[in-house]
Amino acid sequence: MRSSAAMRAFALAATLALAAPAYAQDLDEFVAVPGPAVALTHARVIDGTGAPPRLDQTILIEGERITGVGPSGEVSVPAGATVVDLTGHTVIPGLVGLHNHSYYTGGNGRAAQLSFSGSRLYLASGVTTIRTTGARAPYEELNLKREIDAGRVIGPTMFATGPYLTGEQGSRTMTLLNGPEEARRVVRYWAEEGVDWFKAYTWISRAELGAAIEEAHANGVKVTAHLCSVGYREAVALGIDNLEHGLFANSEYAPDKVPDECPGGFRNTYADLDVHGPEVQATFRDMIDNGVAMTSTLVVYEISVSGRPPIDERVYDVLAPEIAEEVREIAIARRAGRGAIDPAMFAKAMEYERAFVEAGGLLAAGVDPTGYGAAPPGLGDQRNYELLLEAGFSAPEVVRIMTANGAKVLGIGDDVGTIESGKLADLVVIEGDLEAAGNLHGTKIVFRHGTGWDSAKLVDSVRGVVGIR
Amino acid sequence: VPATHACRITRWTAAGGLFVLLAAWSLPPHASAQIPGVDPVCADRAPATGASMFDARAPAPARSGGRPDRPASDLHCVDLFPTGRVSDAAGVVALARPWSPFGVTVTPEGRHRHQLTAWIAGLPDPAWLGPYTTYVAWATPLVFDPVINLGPVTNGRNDLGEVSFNKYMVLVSAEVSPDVTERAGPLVMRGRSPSTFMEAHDLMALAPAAAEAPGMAGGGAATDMDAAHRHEGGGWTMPPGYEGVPMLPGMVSARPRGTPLLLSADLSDVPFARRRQVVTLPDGGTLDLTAGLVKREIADRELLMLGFNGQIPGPLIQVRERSTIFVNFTNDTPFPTAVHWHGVRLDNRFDGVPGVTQDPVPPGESFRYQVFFRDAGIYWYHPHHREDVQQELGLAGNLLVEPRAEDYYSPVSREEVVMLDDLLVEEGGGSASAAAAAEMDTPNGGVVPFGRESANYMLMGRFGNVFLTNGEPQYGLDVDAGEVVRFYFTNASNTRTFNVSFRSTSDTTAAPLPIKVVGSDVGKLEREVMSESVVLAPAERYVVEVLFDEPGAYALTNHVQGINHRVGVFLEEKRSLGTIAVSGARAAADHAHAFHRLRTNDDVVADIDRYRPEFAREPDHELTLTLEVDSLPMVIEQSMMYDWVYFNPVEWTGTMPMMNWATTGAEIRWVLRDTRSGRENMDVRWRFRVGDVVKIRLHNDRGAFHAMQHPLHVHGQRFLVLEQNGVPNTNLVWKDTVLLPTGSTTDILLELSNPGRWMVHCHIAEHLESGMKFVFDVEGDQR
Repeated sequence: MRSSAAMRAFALAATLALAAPAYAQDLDEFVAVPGPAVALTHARVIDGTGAPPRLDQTILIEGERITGVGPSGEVSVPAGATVVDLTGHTVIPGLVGLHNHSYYTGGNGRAAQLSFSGSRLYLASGVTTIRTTGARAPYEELNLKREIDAGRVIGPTMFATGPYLTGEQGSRTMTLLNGPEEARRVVRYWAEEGVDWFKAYTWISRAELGAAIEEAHANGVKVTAHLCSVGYREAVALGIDNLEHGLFANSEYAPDKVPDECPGGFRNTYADLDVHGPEVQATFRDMIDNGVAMTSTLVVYEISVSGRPPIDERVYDVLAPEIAEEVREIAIARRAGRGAIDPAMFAKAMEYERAFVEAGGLLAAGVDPTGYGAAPPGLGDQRNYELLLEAGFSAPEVVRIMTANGAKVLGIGDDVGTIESGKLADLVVIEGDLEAAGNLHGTKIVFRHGTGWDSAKLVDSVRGVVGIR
Repeated sequence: VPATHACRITRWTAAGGLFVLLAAWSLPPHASAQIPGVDPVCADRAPATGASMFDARAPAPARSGGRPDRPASDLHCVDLFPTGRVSDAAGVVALARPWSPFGVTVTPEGRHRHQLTAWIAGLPDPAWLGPYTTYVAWATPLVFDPVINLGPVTNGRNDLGEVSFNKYMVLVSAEVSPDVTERAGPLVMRGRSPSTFMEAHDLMALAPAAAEAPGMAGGGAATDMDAAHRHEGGGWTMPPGYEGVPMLPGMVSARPRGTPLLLSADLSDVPFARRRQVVTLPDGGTLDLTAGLVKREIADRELLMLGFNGQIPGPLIQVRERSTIFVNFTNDTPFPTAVHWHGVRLDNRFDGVPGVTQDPVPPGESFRYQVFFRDAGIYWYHPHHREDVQQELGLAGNLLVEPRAEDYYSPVSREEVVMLDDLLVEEGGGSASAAAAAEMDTPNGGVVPFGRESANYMLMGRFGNVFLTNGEPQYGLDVDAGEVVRFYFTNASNTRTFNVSFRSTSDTTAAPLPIKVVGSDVGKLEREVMSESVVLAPAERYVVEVLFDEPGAYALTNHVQGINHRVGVFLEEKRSLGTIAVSGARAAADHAHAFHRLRTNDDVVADIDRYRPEFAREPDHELTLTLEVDSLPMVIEQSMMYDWVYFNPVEWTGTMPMMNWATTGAEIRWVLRDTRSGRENMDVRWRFRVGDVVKIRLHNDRGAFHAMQHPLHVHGQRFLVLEQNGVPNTNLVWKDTVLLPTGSTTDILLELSNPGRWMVHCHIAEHLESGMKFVFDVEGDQR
């Protein structure tokens, strides 16, 4: 094709015109159960409080909210309500994903905002609320949030994050801070622009982190972190609100930890860590006493652990084919030992999280759809469910970690996270008995704010483009 | 994956990413005209509304910057977006360049300087927002350090002063006082510099095209570097990369169409190049000038190159103003060639343009030139046939024309004629180049091969990776303290624009030495001015003076801000071209007083006065500089579509070498279009008479697929640069080459003083080779 400048411009305009309807197209075709009044009857319910499952329950939805929950027959269904017989199904609260980026990285250095496919895939997988936990493109996130709030884009309720705050090292998509004053200014600007959280990253210093936290709190927003140069106890002392990745990002047990420096390969020393010993318990005590939650992201690390089962084929099925191929090769290579994570370290991380909960800590979960790319939005959250079971939590405990606990961290526990009358109708309908199945693969319908979305249709609509757009 | 599938996905990707990027400036035209008095450059900006800078539901896209008669507003304006606090407000900031004697205005570090003028409407009384008395504008890079108070702003026009960050934001907040040093009040408007729209390429990292064979000549589906190093595709080997900028994955199998071209000879038969000799010729004097093979030892390898009289650069020919010399030129190179006397208003028959003023001189043949030097100053000579090869390999020399007037210049301690150049050699002299050398039967695999059928590096021109200053990788000059040196700089590179300064090597934080700018291509400035650096596009010359007052060492430094397109960030490139060593001894004569006096050159002013009545006239001709591309490999085409979101005013350095290397005349056609007739390149027909004075508007098309700067050269005449982007040039100098920054509009006044058939062309050697040229006729007798 020979193309002049004018033709180029036309071609660009044409592709833009085509792109726009993808956001604006009629969304109704993806709705399985429209409101405004819905009765979900004869369902098995795991309500997010940690309580055991209750059988043959009816959940009444009116408008955006749950207006009744109880044994079928005891909840009166108003005339005109759509009745969905959920015999043979389990209902849990919508998942609250606390490490759920709006972008994806994977394969051979590929990276992309997934404003289209990621949003749909989160919702299709049962994730009705996300905190993005580090933005590459904060304005794109804020726009996405606005579009979802306005009902023009399908996706979860969003808590947007500002740009990553790191030290003088970090990627070019992050804010590389040079001192506490910069940290304050960056936090202030983005807080005014409407982000809800910030995430500090690996190479931030204590002074910068402290300044960022102070400025964030002064502006009514919160801070979490993927740490390394700063230990968990130091961060808690600085007033942090949440800590990501559990043991994988806590360098404070490294033998020669130097303040404000990220020790390389510190995890390799952790296989024999005593999670009930005084050092670890001191971390937990500090976190619990100061109300600091921990976010579990086991799935993002699993790709690198030798001896793990193959990556779920559903992951390769939704990814763009080229990316899927690369991820498959990387999974094989990394598990074969190149740069792999010691299985004992992975087991220790699970043990650490369980011990944290046993000590009374608040554990939430998120997918982190980055790294080598085997944990895409939503599907990775579902894999977390299985990994938390493997870590030794019961099914009702896992549901609570992935729902009510996340809502509590976000400060929306009054509205979200459990199946109770008066709360927002964010619900996941799963075929079969979830406890028996041991996974969330049976997710059929996902309610967000009272509208029930067809999981399979949403997945079909993004198949082959996940990782690209 | 079938190609069609990959293609489809790529289109989606580009569309999705670009949608967000473009939304901010793809708004209806002429809307900012609603802001009273708004700068015409920014009048087609829509007042930005909404809480966010990127409105995902922007109106139907309309391209910006397409007007042939005005500069690209998206590269020269910052839209101010109101926050929810003042949602009815609108604003736009015009980015003009402060005046400088150069084609662009940059700091010594190479950052573009912007003069900010904000037009704002609809701001309420600040007291409505709280205990505030004023609005204050701020400028800050994206990391918020430093944050600069630009002063109070109100509705209407606001002069905000100068900013020279690479990427920055303009913020407006309500404050208690105009003098606050840190923003304390609420944010009410914000905008981002055009450069900030350049972000990390999603596409670069994920394009399915990257996994696909680009399908250029001979290329199979190479998936690794080893495959690329095999000599498929007619003997091409991988060219040097740019340090720290990884190659696009899909580029490994791209290669130029056609076959490689290198000099070939037994090196033992070839003499080493000698340093440049000075040849002083009287009026009527004759010089024998032979172009032939020489060898150089550069970067630890022997390179086969070309020299005039065995020298690189060629002999420095010194003559007096208004004298005539004869040059018996002999071509001992293997190529047809000719000698062009750049900037010299000589007899058209001797202009040295094969196909226009003479037939090329075949190997072994001769041609006698008669060169008349009408104007004092610094000029140069070089071939005008496959310049991309012959000039790159060493065929260039200077002409220093001594003025007749005794006091034409201020007194100085010494004069130095300095030719700035670069050369592209293969990396490391490793096995790849050795193997290539053996395979191609060329003893010096060191110079990166040229294209035989067409120039390669056609897109951006060939950036060298070895700097050669007067032919040497390290230039050296010894002076005594207190010396004033007059430097005559010439840029002889194929495509690189230089930004040179003199920096202390011991105190690297010290400001560079002040530079007095005295003259340029064809004579002196109206008024001498001080500068901290000198910007020279290819073929431009500047005459400057520097006082070396303190003993020590000073690096002649080229300092620019390139772009790492892959991650969308600026990339600082700072290279020492050589050292001026200042001894502890004091210079015999003290010229400091003369140095510090900035002269007004009444002779120049008087000469130009004759033309001032013509400055305000409407343009007689308009030219658009643009690009057509055809059959680019998809990986190149797609990634370049992303680059379209922002173009640097000057492409300072070659950070996309693979992509650039693989382009030839088969894919690239640079275009000089007569905007009114639509004729292009050699189809343009202009006819003038001696004595005509014409105003020409030069529009560098921002909408071109890959817009970049063009140094436009007019043969045999001289012209004045009247204005750029509507800002008048208040200190004129006669020019023969003008740097036209990306997306700019420049008016020149061309004096037709010299009869004959003359060429106009872009002086990026590869652009000239791609056809970016035309000729015009001037009838009458010489004046």
